[in-house]
Amino acid sequence: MFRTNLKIAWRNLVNNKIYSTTNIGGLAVGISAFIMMLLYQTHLASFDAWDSSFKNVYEIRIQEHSKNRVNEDLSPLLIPLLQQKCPEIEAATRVNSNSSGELLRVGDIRIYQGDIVSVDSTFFEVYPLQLKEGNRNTALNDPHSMVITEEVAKKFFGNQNPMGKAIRFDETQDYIVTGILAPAKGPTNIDISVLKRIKVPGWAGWGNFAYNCFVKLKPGTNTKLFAEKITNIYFDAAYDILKRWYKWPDDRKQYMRIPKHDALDVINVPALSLEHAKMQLFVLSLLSAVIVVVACMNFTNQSIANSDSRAKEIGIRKALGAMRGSLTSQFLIETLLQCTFAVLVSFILVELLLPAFNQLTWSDIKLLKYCTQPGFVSKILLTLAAVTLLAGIYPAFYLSGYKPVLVLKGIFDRGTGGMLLRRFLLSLQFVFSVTFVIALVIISRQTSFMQHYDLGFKPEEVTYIQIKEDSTGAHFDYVQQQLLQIPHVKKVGFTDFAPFVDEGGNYTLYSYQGAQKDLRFINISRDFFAAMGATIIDGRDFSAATPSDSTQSIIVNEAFVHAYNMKGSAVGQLVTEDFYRVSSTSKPNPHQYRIVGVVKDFMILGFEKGIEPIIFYNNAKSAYYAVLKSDQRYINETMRSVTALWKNVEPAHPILMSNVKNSFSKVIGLYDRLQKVVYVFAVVTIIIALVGLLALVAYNLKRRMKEIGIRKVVGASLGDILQMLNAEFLGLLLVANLFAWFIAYVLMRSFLNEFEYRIPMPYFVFPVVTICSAVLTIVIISMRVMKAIRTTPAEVLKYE
Amino acid sequence: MIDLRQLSKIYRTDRVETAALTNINLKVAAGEFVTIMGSSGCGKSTLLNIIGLLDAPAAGEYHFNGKALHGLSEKEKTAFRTANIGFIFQSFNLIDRLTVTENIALPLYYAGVDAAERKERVAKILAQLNLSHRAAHHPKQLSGGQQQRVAIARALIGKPRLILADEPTGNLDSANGNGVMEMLCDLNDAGTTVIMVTHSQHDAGFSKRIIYMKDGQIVTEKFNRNVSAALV
Ligand SMILES: Nc1ncnc2c1ncn2[C@@H]1O[C@H](COP(=O)(O)OP(=O)(O)OP(=O)(O)O)[C@@H](O)[C@H]1O
Ligand SMILES: [Mg+2]
Repeated sequence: MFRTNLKIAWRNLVNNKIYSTTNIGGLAVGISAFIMMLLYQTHLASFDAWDSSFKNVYEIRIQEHSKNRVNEDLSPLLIPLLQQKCPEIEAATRVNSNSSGELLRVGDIRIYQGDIVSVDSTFFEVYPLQLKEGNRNTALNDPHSMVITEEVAKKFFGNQNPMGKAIRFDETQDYIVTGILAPAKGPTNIDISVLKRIKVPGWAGWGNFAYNCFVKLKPGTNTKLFAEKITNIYFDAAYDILKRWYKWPDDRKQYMRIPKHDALDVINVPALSLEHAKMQLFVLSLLSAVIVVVACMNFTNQSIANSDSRAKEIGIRKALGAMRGSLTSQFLIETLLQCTFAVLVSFILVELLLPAFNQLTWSDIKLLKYCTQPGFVSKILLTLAAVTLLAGIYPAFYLSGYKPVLVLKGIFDRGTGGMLLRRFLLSLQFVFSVTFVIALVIISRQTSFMQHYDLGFKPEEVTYIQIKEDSTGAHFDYVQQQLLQIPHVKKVGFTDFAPFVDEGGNYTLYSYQGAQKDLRFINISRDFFAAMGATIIDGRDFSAATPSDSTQSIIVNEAFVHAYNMKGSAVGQLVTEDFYRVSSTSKPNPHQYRIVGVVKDFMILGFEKGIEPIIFYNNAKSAYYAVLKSDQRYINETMRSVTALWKNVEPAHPILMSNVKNSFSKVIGLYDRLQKVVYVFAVVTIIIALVGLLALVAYNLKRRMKEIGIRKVVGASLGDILQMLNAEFLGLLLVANLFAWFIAYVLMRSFLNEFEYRIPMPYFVFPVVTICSAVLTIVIISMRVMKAIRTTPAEVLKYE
Repeated sequence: MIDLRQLSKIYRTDRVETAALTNINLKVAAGEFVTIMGSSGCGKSTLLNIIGLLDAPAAGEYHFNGKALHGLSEKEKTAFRTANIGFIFQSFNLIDRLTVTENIALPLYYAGVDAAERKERVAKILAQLNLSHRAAHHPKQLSGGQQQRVAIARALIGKPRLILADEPTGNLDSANGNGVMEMLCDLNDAGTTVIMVTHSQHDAGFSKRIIYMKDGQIVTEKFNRNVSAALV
C-alpha cells in the first residue's frame, strides 16, 4: 500500500512541475535557514564537549548587574584565595590569552606569534588537553617552561626535536620547551599556540581585571551554593576596594540587600560557546523558525489551491471504498515526499551558503562532518517530520474530507475557512521582507557614508610602525631624520595612540578656570599632526626650537575649546593637570601647562564615538608608533626602504607596520558583515513572501474563478478583474508596510544612534520601498491572474 | 441580425481533438425566438457561447447586423457583448457574495453607468419582476425560481437586443419553468431576439423556430405552424 501511495505521489509531483517547484523551493529556502541554525548550534555545543571531564570544569564570572553585563576578566588574586578557602575545588588555573602576538626568537628566526596563552602550572589538571611529547603533570612546573603546538615547533625548529630548547620572548626572557601539545579532539574555547606560565606583576591587585579563571570542582558540588560562597570570599577580600571604584555604599551589608547586586557565578565550560552566542543564536532560531513556519503555511495554501484538481480523484476513490484514513495518509506521504525533496535541496543550499556563513561567524562548520553525527541527524529527521505534519496535516484532512457525492457532481465547498489566518500570515511575511529591505537600504547607506567619509586626510598615505624598544622614543630626532631621507616619505611623527587601531586610551583630570574634567591625553612628537594630515587652526605645532614645549606646552583639539566654552583664542590659556601622568613623575603636582596650539578635530576612534576633548603632550619618549606620511604612488618601494632602515633602528624587532586605510577598513568591516547578513535575510524573506503571495493568489483565484467568469460575461474587462484581485492584496500590503515602517524605524533609529557620525534618517526610503513592494506585488498578481483567466469566459464558466 | 457562415469549433485537449461544431450556417432575424435542441454533447452550448462572444470559433464568419465579429479583439468583444447581449444560464451564475441588487447592477457598473442611474434602473426592473422585497438578499437566500428571475433581470438590465438562454429551466420545477418561459415570450413580444437551448419539448413549444443539432451540425429546422410563414 505504501509503495502504491509513493508511486502515486511521485506521479503527482512530476505531473505538476510548476506547482511542485514553488512548493519545494519555498520550503527548501525555509528549511535551509533552519538547518543553518541547527548546524551553528551543534557547532557551538561541540566546544569543549569532547571529554567527559569537562562536565566538572567551570569558569568563574562576575555578573555585573550594575553595568548589565557579564565580566569574565577577573583579578589574579582571586584564584589563589579561593584555592585556600574552598575544598570543593579540585584544581584551578588562571588563563591570560594574548591573541595579537609577541615577538619570539630562536637564533635568527624572529616571529610575531599569536595565541600565546599564559596559565598556572595546574592548567592540565583542569583542561583535559593531552601532550604528544612531555609529561602533562610536570610540563609547566618551572616558571620558565612552556608547551607549544607542533606547528609552532616546525616554525622555529624545523625537523629538530624541540624538547628542552629555548625560545626567547620579547628579547628579554627565555622559556624552555617542555612539551608538545597534541591537537585537541574537538573545538576548544581557548585557542592555543604557545602555553607558558603566567607571570602576575607584583602591583596587580583587586582592581586589575584581566584574567580568566577556571576551576575543576569535585563531582556533586552544588554550583549555586558554591557561587554564593565564592562571592562572599571575594567581597571579604575586595569590597573595600571595589566600593570606591563603583561608588557602592560603605556598608557591605547594605549593598548585599540590593536585589541585583554584583556577584560571582560559575558556568560549565561546555556551555560557554552557546552562552557567548546566546543572543545571536536566539535571533537566528527565531528568524529561521518563523521562516520555516511561514514556508509551511505557504505550502498548505498551495496544496489547498491545487486541491480541486484532485477532488475528482478523491471522490472516485471514496466511492470505490477508500477509507478517509488511507486518503489522509496518502496525502501525508505526498507531503513527506515533497518535504524530503525540500530537505535535500536545502542541503545543497546550505553547502553553497556555508562558506559565507563561516566567514560571518568566524567558524569552520562543515556540513559533512555533522551529517554523520547521530544527534544532528536525529534533529534533521525531527525537523522533516515536523515540517511534513505542519505543512501537510491540514490539506490532508481537508482533501480527504470531501464528500464523494458532491465532489462527483462537481459541487464542493472551497470554503473560506482560515482565510483570515492566511491573510494574516501573508501580511506577516510582507512585514518581514519590507522591514529587512528598509533596514538593508539604511545600513548600506550608513556603511557607504562611512566608506566615503572625508577624514581630513588620505588614510592610504599614512602608515604606522610599531615601536617595540624603549630607546627608540628617546631618539625621535635621529629616527625622524633617517626616515625623511627615504624618497617619497614626506612627514614623520611619533604618537602613543594609533587612530582606528587602539581602543582604550589614557585619561586624567584637568581643570581650567576651576572646572575639573576627566579628559583623554595623547603623547606625540612634533610633526605628528603633519604626518597624520590634521591641521593646526590656531597657534603652532610643538617645535624643536622651544625646548620648554616638552614640560610646559600642550596642544588641544577644537572639542576641548568647546568643552570649556573658551571665549576668544585658546592659545596662551593655562590648563592645570590635577593628577600625575604615569610618565611624568618628576613634575610638581598640580602642574600648569600653556596651550600653544589648537588642532582641527579629527576622528581617532571610528564612527561610533564622537570627538572627545583631547590634550596632546609633546612627549615622543612614550611613543608606541612612528607615523609616516608618504606618497601613495611609490608606496611599495618606500615601504621596502622603510623596512630596511628599521633594521637599524630596532635590530631585534622585525618591523610591524600597517596602513591606516587597512585599520580604517577593519573599523567598517563589522558593518559590512552586518549588511551582508541583513542582505541574506532580505533575500530569503522576499523569496518566501513571493512564494506565499503566489500561493495565496492561486488559492484566491481558485475560490473566485466562477465569480470572475460571471463578471467577465456581464462585461468586466481584464483590467477590471486585475483591479479587483489586486485591491485585496494591496490592502494587506499597505497595512503590512505601515507595521514594517514602524519596526524598521525603531530598529534603524537605534542602529544609527550607535554612531556619532551618521546619516540623517533617510525617510524617503520608507515610501520608496513601499512603492517598490506594491509594484512587485501588482506585477506578480497580474501575471498569475492573467495566466489563469486568459482563457475565454466560456471556459471559465464551465469551471463549476 | 445574426449570420453565421461555415462556423467550426475544435477543442484540443492533450492529444484528443473534438470537433464540437462543423460548418454551421445559421441566420437569425431580429425579433425571432429560436430554440436549439439536440442530444447531449452535440454542441449546443458551444454554439450559444460563440454567438454570445464568450468563445471564439476556430473557423468561419460571424456577422451581427452586417458587422463582422469574428475578428474582434477580446476587448472589443467585451464591449460589444455588454452593449448588445444578455445571458441566462441553467445554473443561474449569480455571485453569492453580492446582493440581488448588486448582482443585477453589475453589467451597468462595468458599462460605466453612474451610481444614481444604476439604482434607478435596478429598482425599476426589480419591480417589473416582482423582486423588490428581495433586493437586499443574497442569492443563497432565494428559491431557484427567484434566482433565475434575478439572473434574467441581470440579463435585461443593459437593454440587450439579443438574449441567449442555455437551458434556463433546467434546474427549475415546471411551475417556475413556465414562469421563466412566459417572461422570455414577453421579452420576445417586446422586440428582443431570443435564442434558447433546451432539452424540453414543452419549452421548445413556446418558440417559433426550432433548430435540431447532431454531432456539431445543424440537421433540421422546424417552424411552429401558427407563426412560421410570416417569418421566413
Ligand atoms: N473545454 C472543452 N474541451 C474539450 N472538449 C470540449 C470542451 N467543451 C466542450 N467540449 C466538447 O465539445 C462537445 C460539445 O459540447 P457542448 O458543451 O457544446 O455540448 P452540449 O450540446 O451543450 O451538451 P449538453 O446538452 O450536455 O449541455 C462535446 O463533445 C464536449 O465533449
Ligand atoms: Mg450544454
